Amino acid sequence: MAAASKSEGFGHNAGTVTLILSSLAGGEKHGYALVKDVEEFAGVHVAPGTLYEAFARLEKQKLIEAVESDDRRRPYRLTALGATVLADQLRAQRRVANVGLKRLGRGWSTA
Amino acid sequence: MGNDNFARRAHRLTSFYPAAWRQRYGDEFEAHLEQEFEENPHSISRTLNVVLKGLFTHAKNLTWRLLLIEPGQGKLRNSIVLPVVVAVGFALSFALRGSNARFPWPASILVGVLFALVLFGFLYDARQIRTVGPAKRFSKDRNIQSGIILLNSGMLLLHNVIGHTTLWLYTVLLLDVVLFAVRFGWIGRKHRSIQDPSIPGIQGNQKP
Repeated sequence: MAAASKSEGFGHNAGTVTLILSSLAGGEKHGYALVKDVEEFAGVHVAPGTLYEAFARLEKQKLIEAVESDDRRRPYRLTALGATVLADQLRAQRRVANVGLKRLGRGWSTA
Repeated sequence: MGNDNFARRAHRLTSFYPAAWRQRYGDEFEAHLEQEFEENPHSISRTLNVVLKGLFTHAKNLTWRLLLIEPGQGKLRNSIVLPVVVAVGFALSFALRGSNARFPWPASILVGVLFALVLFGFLYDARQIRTVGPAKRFSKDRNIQSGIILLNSGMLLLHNVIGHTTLWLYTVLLLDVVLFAVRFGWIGRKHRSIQDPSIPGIQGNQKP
């Protein structure tokens, strides 16, 4: 229930948030490593201001947490709640994608 | 040489963010920017992104401070939304008034009183929010502001009955009905607590 309300709260940042959480699902990363990872699997560059705005929000929502580090570049990791929220979000996106693809399959020729 | 320059630039850009934000994220944000500079030293879109997000963070903090609200208290939204919507309603009504309207702004003493009452309601709420404990906050505020809106609606009705019916008055009247419904939770109940986790101190859905 709490997870559902958190994923509803992504609002207009849903895309960026999903990318960040998806990246952290693969293991803890600091900001720059995360940006590179997202570039690799999604072809999207997350700008630094946008990234840290999302970090601050996600940390307050307890979807991610900072990991203690001696390095200036502090790594972040996904929390259990974050994993649940991400799974919900991805399932919802898959439902939409499935419907869209199914409808495109009927009568639309796609490249 | 390059590293010093990058560090200076990163520090300069980070200074666009509020001090509290810098205290938490400043160091790692600067390190992140330095790495981005190494890869791509000049990017206008990146600079704009950082500056605008910094200013936006400032604006968000300032807004909460101006509203005298301690971030993190649930169910504050109505206390803010009601007077803001009324003020917007007034402005909209003023903008929509016909050229032959009999009562250009301010329409009458009644409207002035109405406006003053809404302002009083807002100030009262702000004071309550600051001085009363979270558990007691909303029972009293609810009565006060609902009363104000009721009175406000009554005065406008009276104004209409007397004969000065303009689009301006109907708009405000309609707004009052909507506000009244919101205040008592007949509509918009689902969204009555602040859930914006980007506001410092808010930890998701808080029950009052």
